[in-house]
Amino acid sequence: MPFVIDDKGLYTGLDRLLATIDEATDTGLERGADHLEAVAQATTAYVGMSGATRESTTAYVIGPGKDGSTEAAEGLAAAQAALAGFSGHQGQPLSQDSGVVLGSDQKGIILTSFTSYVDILEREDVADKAFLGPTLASEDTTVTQIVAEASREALR
Amino acid sequence: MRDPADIKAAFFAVLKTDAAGAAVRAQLVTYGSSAASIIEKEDVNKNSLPTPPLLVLAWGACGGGRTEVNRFLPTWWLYDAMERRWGRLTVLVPLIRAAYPKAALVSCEIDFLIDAGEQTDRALNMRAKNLPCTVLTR
Repeated sequence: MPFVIDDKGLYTGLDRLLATIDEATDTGLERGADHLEAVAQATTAYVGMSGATRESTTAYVIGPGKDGSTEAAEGLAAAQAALAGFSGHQGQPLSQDSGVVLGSDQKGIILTSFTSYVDILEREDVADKAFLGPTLASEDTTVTQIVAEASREALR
Repeated sequence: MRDPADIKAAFFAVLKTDAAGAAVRAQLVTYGSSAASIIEKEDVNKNSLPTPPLLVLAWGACGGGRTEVNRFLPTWWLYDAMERRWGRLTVLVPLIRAAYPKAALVSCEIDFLIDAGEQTDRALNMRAKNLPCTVLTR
């Protein structure tokens, strides 16, 4: 007697599993971005004068259907608001292409700040006031665990 | 886990005094500099910098604290006089990389990341390049 397997249900289940993990990854990355943003905004690496760097420090998810343009516009607006009428230094609000190019099945988090001088904070004087790079470096394991936990929740 | 202070000291000693960093120090000497220009970030005094080119170790953040593997993110910052541009620093970069094979430090694994290209540090009024790396240890 032939041994027959109807694998339609198996494939349907696998598709559902993949879709669930995909959705959970989105949730986890959003939570991870919130975590990164909170840590970066709370930095004591620099003091700040106008508040523009701190207030425009933003972490957001990019990937399929998410180009980050809304979050970037909000970050830029925060820097513009903080620097409006401010004359303590020559810094300006600034939004630039991140240069990050993801594959069609990749997702990620951008952590940035929308001022012309954040690059100076990150690099000059032996990176003495750097906070974006150090935040990513110190928190990447935590973010990975946040994303993993979101997957675990979804699969329970 | 190895004491982080020991790892930092060992990492710094590779260029400062160890045989593995001899080629780097020899190159510094040909440029009129010396091992005295290999310093830690904490020792940078903007008003009294060593003879350029100089190499500055910034130990950086520690990651991986919630796992068994701890990760340190040191960066070697290379500086030279403004008028020298980046030519001498470009020569030093591969020598520094070569001084740190993956297993250069006991119980650690070292990987260099992409160097960040040509920069100008206006705070120090110097040309700069940086060479970040990861040091993993259990």
